[in-house]
Amino acid sequence: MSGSEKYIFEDQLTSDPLLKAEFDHQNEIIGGLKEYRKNQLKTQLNNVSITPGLLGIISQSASMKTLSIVAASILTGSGAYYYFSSETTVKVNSLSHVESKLDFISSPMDLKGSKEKLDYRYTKNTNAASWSIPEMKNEEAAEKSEVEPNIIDFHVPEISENISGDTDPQPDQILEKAVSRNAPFADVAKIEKIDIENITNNRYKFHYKLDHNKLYLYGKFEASPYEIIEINSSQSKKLFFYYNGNYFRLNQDVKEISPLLSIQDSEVIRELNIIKSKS
Amino acid sequence: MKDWEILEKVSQGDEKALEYLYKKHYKMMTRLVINNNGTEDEAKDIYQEALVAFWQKAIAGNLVLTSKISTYLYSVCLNLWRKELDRKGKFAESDKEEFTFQEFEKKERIRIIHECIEELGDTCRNILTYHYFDGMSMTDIAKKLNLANTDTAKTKKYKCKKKLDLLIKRKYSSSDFLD
Repeated sequence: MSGSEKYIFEDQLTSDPLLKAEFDHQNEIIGGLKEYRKNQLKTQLNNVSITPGLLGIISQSASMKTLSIVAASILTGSGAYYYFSSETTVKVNSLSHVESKLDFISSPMDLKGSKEKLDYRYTKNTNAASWSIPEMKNEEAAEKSEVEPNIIDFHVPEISENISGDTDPQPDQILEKAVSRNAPFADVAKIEKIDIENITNNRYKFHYKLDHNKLYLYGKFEASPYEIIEINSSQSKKLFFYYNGNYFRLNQDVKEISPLLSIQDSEVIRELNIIKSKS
Repeated sequence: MKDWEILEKVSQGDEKALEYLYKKHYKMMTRLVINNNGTEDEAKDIYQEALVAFWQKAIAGNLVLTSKISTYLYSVCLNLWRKELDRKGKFAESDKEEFTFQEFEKKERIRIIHECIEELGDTCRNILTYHYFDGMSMTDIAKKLNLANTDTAKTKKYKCKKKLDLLIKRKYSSSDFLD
């Protein structure tokens, strides 16, 4: 209805009471229809359940939210733990340990077949899980690098001029000999510590690796305390590993994971036993 | 459901979307009235009125949202409740007897009309309410009620309106209404 039509219609409404009555009647019917529909919608909304169900109440409660957060944290933590512990690493450096050292530094003496000056450096730990080993400083390491790496070159001192007789020397005599034949080395005092890490791994049961002043022990070494003996000479440094009654040579140039092989040479074992017993 | 999704569905006459919206903001909207000296029933009624207004505007395509739906509903509820408080205040000061009579007369007429609407069939009732209240186009009504086409809906609407008029006139003579 345009503006003029609307004006004419309103004029007719005022002049014709019957038309006005019918107009009002129709308005009321339309109003009634609107009211009906509104009530229908409101009834529909009234039937909507507002109160949350049991699950809703539980999920909305503050304690439940806290519990869910805690549970999620635990799950995440344990998941991460199991994921990263496929290769369990046990750091042992921080553990307290008892350490005893026995340094043999003496004047050089002539040896039969070898003019080598030896420096015995022994480190013992009563706690199987705790280790710290003194080691040569870099200056000494540089000197050592000239030495052939893969040859086990353990020189057992033979009979000295001062000891006579055909019988085997007594342990004390061997030890004294070892002490006396070693010249004092200024460099020996400059030592570095080797870190030890025990790694539990399904693949390696009794292995080791030496890398950048760090000894990695693969396997379970809880059965008895293990010890490490370090023997320094002017040209080289040798490391031995004692565990469960056996000695094992630790080759410093082996960068790969290698098995721990026990030393069979009785002379070497005897000298190592003396060094160990004096510690 | 995001706001735009709700608005889109409500604009298409989706009553489930309206129910979802009602449930979503129920606590916030009713708290507004309850915290301002209203009862829970009043709060519910105000919120439903606001939602119905939102529904009507959305279907008619007259709603341009410049804020969140919840903000819009909150302001509608606030206005409705202020009006209701004003009405209550005025009602207390006015002549209660005259007001009651006028209200009763109007209510009675509306009750008769509602009775007649109830007597219509579902299709007729829906066509008329969708057209007069929701403001839906005849094409949308035809689609919603699964009618053949728009013309069928138009014819049906005309017949239904005639039927409603007849029912009302049969029940009461015009003099009863126009007195």
